[in-house]
Amino acid sequence: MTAVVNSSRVERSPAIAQLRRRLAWARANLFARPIDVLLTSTIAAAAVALLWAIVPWAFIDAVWVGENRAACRPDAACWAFIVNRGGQFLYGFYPQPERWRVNAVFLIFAVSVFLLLRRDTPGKRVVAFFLLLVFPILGYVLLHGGVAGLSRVTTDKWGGLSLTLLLGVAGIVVSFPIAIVLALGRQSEMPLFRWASIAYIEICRGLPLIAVLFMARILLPYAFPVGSEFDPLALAVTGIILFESAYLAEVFRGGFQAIPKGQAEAAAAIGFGYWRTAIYVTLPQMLRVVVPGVVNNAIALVKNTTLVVILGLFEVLNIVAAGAADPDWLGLHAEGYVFVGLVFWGLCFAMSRYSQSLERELKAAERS
Amino acid sequence: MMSSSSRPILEVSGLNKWFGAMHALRDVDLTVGAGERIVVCGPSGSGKSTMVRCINALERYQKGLIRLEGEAINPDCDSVLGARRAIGMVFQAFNLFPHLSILDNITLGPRKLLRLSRPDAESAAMILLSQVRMEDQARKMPSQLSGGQQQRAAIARALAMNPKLMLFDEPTSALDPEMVKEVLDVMTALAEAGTTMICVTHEMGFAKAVADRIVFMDQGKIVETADPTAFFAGDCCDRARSFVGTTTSGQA
Repeated sequence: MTAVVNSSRVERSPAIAQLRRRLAWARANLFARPIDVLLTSTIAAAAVALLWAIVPWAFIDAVWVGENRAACRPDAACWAFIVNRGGQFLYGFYPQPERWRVNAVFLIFAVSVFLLLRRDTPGKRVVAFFLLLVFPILGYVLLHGGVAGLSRVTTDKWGGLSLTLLLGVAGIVVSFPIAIVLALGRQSEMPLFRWASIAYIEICRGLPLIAVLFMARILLPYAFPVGSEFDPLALAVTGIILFESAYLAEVFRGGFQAIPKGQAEAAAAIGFGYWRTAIYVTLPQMLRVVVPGVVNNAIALVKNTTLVVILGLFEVLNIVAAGAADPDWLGLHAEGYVFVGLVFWGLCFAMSRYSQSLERELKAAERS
Repeated sequence: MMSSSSRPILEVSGLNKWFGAMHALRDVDLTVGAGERIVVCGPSGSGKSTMVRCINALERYQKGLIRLEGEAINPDCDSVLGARRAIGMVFQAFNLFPHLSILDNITLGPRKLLRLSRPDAESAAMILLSQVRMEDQARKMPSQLSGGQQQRAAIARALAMNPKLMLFDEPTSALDPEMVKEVLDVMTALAEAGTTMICVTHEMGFAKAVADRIVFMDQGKIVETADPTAFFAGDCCDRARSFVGTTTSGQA
């Protein structure tokens, strides 16, 4: 059919032909009946009105530089607040001359994750060992200091986006192995192991993270002698891991159940026992299946990290909110929350895109 | 019969299995000598697959004894892993590991259990792959191969552990008709090379050509054990005779 249409218009230029096709499409899909005309024009008017309100506020009249709120205009966005406080939003109260340490930790993390995910890296086992066992200690030592000539930066100074990322990464990386053990435990034939896993998963999954964090703050001091001090960051990380490992364990259990029974039987028929079957046959297949579920949980976790304000920690949302309470920048909440919204959206969208590309790559790997 | 003189590789005696209330195997006795080729046939639901799966302890059984070269195979004991290494199994659904290449599928067991180095395991695997006429497919992933090729790779994987006994559980039932022959040819070559095997199959042509003994099962019992000439001549019970009648007419 298309061949006939094309041959009858062979003398027209391609640009005009394309325009005609688009007009025909619009006519068929947007203006076919009176009700379609009404809907299309209402939606178009609403979109224009929205842009009319946002664009001048956010871009045309916006103020980008300034030392305090005197530079701002009452009817437009004042991004000078974000630009001015950018360092604090990224690093919290981490002392300025020491901020390279935060950068170094994230750079090491990014490079080792890249090496681990690239297909042809030699010695992946060394990288994985480094990332899971050496890096958490190295990272803590670098950030906290107090040794090897690094000045001490206590955890109450950590904050901003780097704290958000730290909580998210620590939450996923540490929960990952715990969740695998829990998922295996839930299906185990050993009753004690199975019941312990089920109890853990059901209890921790049934609690809201906010309740876990409140309990850590309010109940924990009662359980220990008066005067015991708890590092709020350690409490936050522990609470997040408790919560996240239960969720991930259920994602992994679903992944294990998606593997046909014949796979474990084939492994058994070779003479593999429980652990070899898990390590060489079921785990690698399970991890491919669960990519979307894990990323979904990671996205939820990154947004949940905002709750650590309960423990007095200022991750990116709360440090921006606190910034808008500063007399120099009083009342710039709108700019702050728009900025934080964009930051979280960017993080989550990047994770989602990454998971899609990883899924495609894994599918391709099974065919090449 | 060959088995009477040499020491048996496998002895099954008084095997009974229930799935809940269903009595799946009733007092099954079977002795297999070295180099012997047994074909097990019978209507579906007669317990053929269940018997084969009990032999390498993929299924638990409630009563009876299975011995491999005199050693009892007990599903609840760690020694079962050693017994399974000595028994190769080929499944109806191939069950290749989809995340590994054909070569890695074959070398996984030898590398992790027999502690062969990767080059040694791979050169041994290439010899097996040439036996199943798959040497040019070594680097491919299972999903890139046809069913017949996957099943031949699965046979090579089972052979890689140097098994004393090969079990085939309906190896051609999941295949398109044009691929059945390539798998049967490989199995015939194995049989001619003296591999001890128990083969559950509906391929009566294969049974006739290869089997030393045909075991006919019905309702969980071994109803008849006969050499192929006697079996296909119909010198046995009515059930087997009617079964042979339906399968051969079905193939014609």
